[in-house]
Amino acid sequence: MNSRKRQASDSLLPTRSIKHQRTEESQSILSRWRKLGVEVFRLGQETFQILTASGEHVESESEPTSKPKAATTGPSAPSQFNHSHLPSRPPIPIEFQRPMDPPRRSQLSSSQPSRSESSRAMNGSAMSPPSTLTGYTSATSIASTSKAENPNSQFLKLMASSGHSTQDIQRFKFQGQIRHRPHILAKEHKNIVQQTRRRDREELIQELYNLRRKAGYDQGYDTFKNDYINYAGRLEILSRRDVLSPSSSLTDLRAKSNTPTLSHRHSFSDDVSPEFLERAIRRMRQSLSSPPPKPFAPSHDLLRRSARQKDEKIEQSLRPKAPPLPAALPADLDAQVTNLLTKRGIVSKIAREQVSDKDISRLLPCQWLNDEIINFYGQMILSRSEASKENPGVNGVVGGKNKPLNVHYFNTFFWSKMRIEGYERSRLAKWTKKFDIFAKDVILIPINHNNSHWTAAAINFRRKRIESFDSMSLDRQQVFKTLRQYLDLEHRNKKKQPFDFTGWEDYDPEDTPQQENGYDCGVFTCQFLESLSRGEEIFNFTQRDMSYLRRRMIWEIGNAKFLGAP
Amino acid sequence: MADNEGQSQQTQDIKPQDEQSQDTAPINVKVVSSTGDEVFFKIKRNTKLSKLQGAYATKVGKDVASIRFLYDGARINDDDTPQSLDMEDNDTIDVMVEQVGGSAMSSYQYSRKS
Repeated sequence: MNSRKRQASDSLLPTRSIKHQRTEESQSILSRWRKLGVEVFRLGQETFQILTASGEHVESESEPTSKPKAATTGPSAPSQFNHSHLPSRPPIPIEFQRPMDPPRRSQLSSSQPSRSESSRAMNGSAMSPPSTLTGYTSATSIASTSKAENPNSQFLKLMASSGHSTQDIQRFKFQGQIRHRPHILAKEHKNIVQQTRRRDREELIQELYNLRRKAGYDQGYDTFKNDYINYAGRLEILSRRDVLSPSSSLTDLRAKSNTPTLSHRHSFSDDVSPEFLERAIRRMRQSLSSPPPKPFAPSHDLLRRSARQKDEKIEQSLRPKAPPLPAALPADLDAQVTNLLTKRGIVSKIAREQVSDKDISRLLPCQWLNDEIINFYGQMILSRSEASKENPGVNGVVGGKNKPLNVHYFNTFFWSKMRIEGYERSRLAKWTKKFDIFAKDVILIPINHNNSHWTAAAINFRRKRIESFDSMSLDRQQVFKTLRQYLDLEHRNKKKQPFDFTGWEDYDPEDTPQQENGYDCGVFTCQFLESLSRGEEIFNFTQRDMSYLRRRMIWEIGNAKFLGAP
Repeated sequence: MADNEGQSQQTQDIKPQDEQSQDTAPINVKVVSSTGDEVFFKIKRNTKLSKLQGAYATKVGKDVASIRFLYDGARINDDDTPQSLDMEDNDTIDVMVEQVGGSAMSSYQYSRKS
């Protein structure tokens, strides 16, 4: 009675589903009954021998064998029995102690007043999942165990009453039952342990709560403690068991073998284990001490760079770029250039154009170019175009990208004549008496502005554009105006009707390569014209390439052919 | 003004030098500078135009290398003759001075153009 009452209020006791317990219990009972049968048989045998020897009480001894099966319950029975017998019990032999875990035993006994409790622990039926999982009170579980205990206790009682030798009883005890009297300070000890654990746990939770707060947890402490921690702890226990516990009607073997019984002795019914709290705190510290993840916030530069890269990719796929120009001529060509520069007099000739050493020395760095160089280069362009017209394929692939267009090159004086004297007075009609400019693809016109600046202009019949390419990007409205005037007058002169300007536009691209000094415009102009003669609209050179291009132009003019041409 | 000067003397200078044989009589050639000055020459069809160029250069007091002679937009070479260029009587030869350019540094030019 006493033990039962105390246990009901003891939240420390592990609980377990009743059904579960029963099945396990019934299993162990079965085996115990088997052993009991053997024992009874042996007992009967011995008794018979004794009786035959002494000739006493034959009838009264034969009865108890059938009595346990009646399963009459009597909770008070075990205590009676134990109290009467324990003091006189002799020490247990070593080999008999084996199945029992001595330290566990001692710990358990310190807080365990009842015999039924100790038997549960020994039989393994006490290995229940943590109390948090099941909400059952310890009272019910005790009720069930005490019921299950009955056969044993009954038998012991009978044995005791029958006044058997201690040896026999002890042999029975080895089968399962050993009992200690609780220490007189057991209660206090238990209370102290409980308090300490509670305090430790509280501290751990507080610490974890503080850590969580740092990481942004913004609920109150009570919510954290009562709801969150318990829930998290339960989740962890569940996940550690891999799966949810099997159906309660089955024996959970894994739980039996893995779960340490010890830790549940002092756990609280609504609590999580301190190990869990410690792990949680450790994890929390780790995550707090690790550097915070950087949010992805692309800077303006980054965005612009990626946008430019995309643009370039598109540009590349639309118009595959020619490889960039080299920094310098090959060594042998460079030597030829040096050699060319030592020549005196007329260095090179093509058609009606010729250049002298004075002219060609203007292609050395930082020199202004004169009309001779420009016209010579223009004549080279014109000759190439005419050559490819007569003999298509001479310049590589027929119809390929590098195929020269059908161009006409007006020399540098065309602009001066047209601009200063006008179409009629300068008799420009006679300049085109041998060909029809309207049948050309492109008319190339170098323009000298006030004897200080060279630009390139073109009449592009294929695209219906009047084009102006200025390495200084000055306002060249005059160019468009004058060239339109020329076109109209030429058309009236040759075709006897005004030129049809519908669809024609002025083209003054913003991305024209720009010179960065006061002397390279002639080279730019020559390169504009050369590129235009090949139908190229993206110029593949910049200020950076000028020193190379000047060098290359010396070679090209000196040899009167373009580099790379056959 | 320019007309008077040119017409008078120059015609005589060139004619007498070469043999009068062959096909034709001398032709009259007008040399016009970019500033509009005109000089007239009378030259045989097979006479090298280099002579005309030299005569013109001395006349206007310039180095031959610094001036360019154009016939219908095409550069006249030293060994060209009126015949090789299919020149006709009273044709015009344009004289241009050397052109150079490096950059459009002056703002003067920019403002003038626009």
